[in-house]
Amino acid sequence: MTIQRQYVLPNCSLLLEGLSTDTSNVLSILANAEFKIVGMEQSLAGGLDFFKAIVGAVNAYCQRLLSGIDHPDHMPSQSSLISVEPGEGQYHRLLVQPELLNSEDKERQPKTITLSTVQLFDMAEAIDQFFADGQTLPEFVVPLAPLARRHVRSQEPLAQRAVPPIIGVATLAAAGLGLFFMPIPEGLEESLTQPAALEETTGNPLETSPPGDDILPDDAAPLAAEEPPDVVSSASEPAAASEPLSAEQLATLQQQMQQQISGALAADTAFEQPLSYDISVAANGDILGYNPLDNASFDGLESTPLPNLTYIPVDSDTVNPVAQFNLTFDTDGTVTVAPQESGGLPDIVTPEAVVPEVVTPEEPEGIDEAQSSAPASSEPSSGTTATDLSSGELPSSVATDIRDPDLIYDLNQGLRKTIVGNMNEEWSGPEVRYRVRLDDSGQVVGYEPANDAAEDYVDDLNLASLVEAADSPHPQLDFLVVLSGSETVEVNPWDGWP
Amino acid sequence: MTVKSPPEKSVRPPILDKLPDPGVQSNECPRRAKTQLDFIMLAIEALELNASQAMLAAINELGLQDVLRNRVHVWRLRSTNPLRKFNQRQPLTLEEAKALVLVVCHLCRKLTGLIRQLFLGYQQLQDQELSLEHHFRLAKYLKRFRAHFRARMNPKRAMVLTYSTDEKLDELALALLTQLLVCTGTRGEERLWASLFDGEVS
Repeated sequence: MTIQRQYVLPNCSLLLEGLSTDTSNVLSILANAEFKIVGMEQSLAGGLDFFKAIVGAVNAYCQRLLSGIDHPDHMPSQSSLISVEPGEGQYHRLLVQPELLNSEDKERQPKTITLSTVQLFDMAEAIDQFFADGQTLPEFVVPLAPLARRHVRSQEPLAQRAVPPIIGVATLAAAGLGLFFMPIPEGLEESLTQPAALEETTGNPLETSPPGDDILPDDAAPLAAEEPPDVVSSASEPAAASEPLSAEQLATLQQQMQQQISGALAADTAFEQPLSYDISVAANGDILGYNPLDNASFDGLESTPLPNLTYIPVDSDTVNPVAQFNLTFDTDGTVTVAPQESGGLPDIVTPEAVVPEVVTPEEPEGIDEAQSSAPASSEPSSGTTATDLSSGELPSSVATDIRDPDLIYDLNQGLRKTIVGNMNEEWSGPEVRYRVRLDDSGQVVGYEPANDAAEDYVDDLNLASLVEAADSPHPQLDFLVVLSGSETVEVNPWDGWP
Repeated sequence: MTVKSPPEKSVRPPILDKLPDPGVQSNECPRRAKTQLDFIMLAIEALELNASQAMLAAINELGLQDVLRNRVHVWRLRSTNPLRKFNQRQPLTLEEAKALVLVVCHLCRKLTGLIRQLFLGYQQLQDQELSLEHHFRLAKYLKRFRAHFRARMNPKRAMVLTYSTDEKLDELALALLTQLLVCTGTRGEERLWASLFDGEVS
């Protein structure tokens, strides 16, 4: 017995004809399915294959309408029997392969039907109502499931997706190429060379400077480990710039300094004793650092305008000193600015008279002509602190220095014992420092006082008697001996422990 | 002495079981689902003046008060749409999304007549090659949708920028109208629910 089921909607009706396998009224074998669409003369009719195909395509297309993502089930392809495509505006194209249709004229071309949205929806609704009807084809179930990720093609073609990374790489390449031809900024070059220069001055002068050079490390760096230095420099005192100034520039700068410091000094200022400083100056006239040359200068620092005038650069690499001057405040408040060698090192030793820390009793052979002839030597303080030492001549550099850490340790211990054994038991006094040079056999080659007070106690400590080999050809090393009271004797390598 | 009854256990509304779990890893809706749900609700608001009230009524009719507690809660859920100006950076759980889908389809069914009428008008305009302004009701819908969209979406978003012109917004409004039509169907909830996770399941 043939069973007919009809699902009628305003624009489309679905007629299903089939058989029931048993006495119940359930349509379980589909014989014919027919869609009648309002406004179309021909109906779409076919068997089970047709019905399955159209249900799959219409369902998938409805999902596409909702999500906007193409489903493989409705896309036209080689294998698809029925496909649905979006058409113009609100129309949609239904493509049906001719072999599915129960049609008399056997066409070879796929049948194309244009459906409006409402017609298509009614078709889907008829199918949905069929699914909701438990009496018709109960075993025919098409679940509605989300589309798997692998079916989703990217909405943009590969060419478009490739554009942003390509642009990025190309821009980087172009920028790199462009910048390659740009000169390195000058400031950068200076700051690159700067650290090396600094290290050379402060790191290990005895090792790195050639013999005969007169650079004595009165700089704070090697001593920093043991004692706070008696020489205080301002926040930064970088090495002088590599490029020397011309004589005119130097003169201008000197004049500028003179005016600047005189202007900053109150008119009626008077000092108890002359104060002298090294100052390093930037090209634009900023004072970048100052270095008191004796204790009186250090104590009187606050009464000078120097602390206020000093410009502390944010980044010491950006501003480099170009010149060094000797600055002297006379007792009556007169300011004298005298040039040092431009491009010199920041802690260059001015003639011995004004540098009590490093007293070389006789004219050191290695001293720079430029400095010995510097006007600073004629300062009023000249000669006031110079001491004539019968012994302790100490060339400022060592020809071959000792590098073996174990040997240095032994020498250090030996020297300490020697000093302790040699000194007067009752000795007491202020803190004194000496530089003592040993050769590799432990013999004292020479010594020199390293601070003011030290000069007065040379005899008390019998240092002169210690000198055994004044001119030893062997490798040598300097040690720092610090005595404060009879109990405390500290001995360390001058340049720190290796 | 009054004995306080134990706190009510929130019972999961059985109507939510109508929609199957989509098989995504987390309990959150993907980004596109949040956007799509909000856009569909925007289209409903453009169709019906009193949509927010109707939405609350629908929540009560469907017994979803436990999931969608009040107007503010619904607004917060809609604001999970990342394209919104006042985007709430919080997740939209599957349960909340299911409830919203049910409410949306419920509202759509009530609007079936109007939606079909608009489509017939659209069809006539297209057949006679007239512009969309010639159908009064359709033009009103489009205008309201454009106003809602521009008022609520963040114009700095790239996707919102693609809808900067009236024509683009009209296209979006008509596409959403089609979605509303599909939602009115017998299996509208299932179709909408499945479509939210298109391309998100493995």
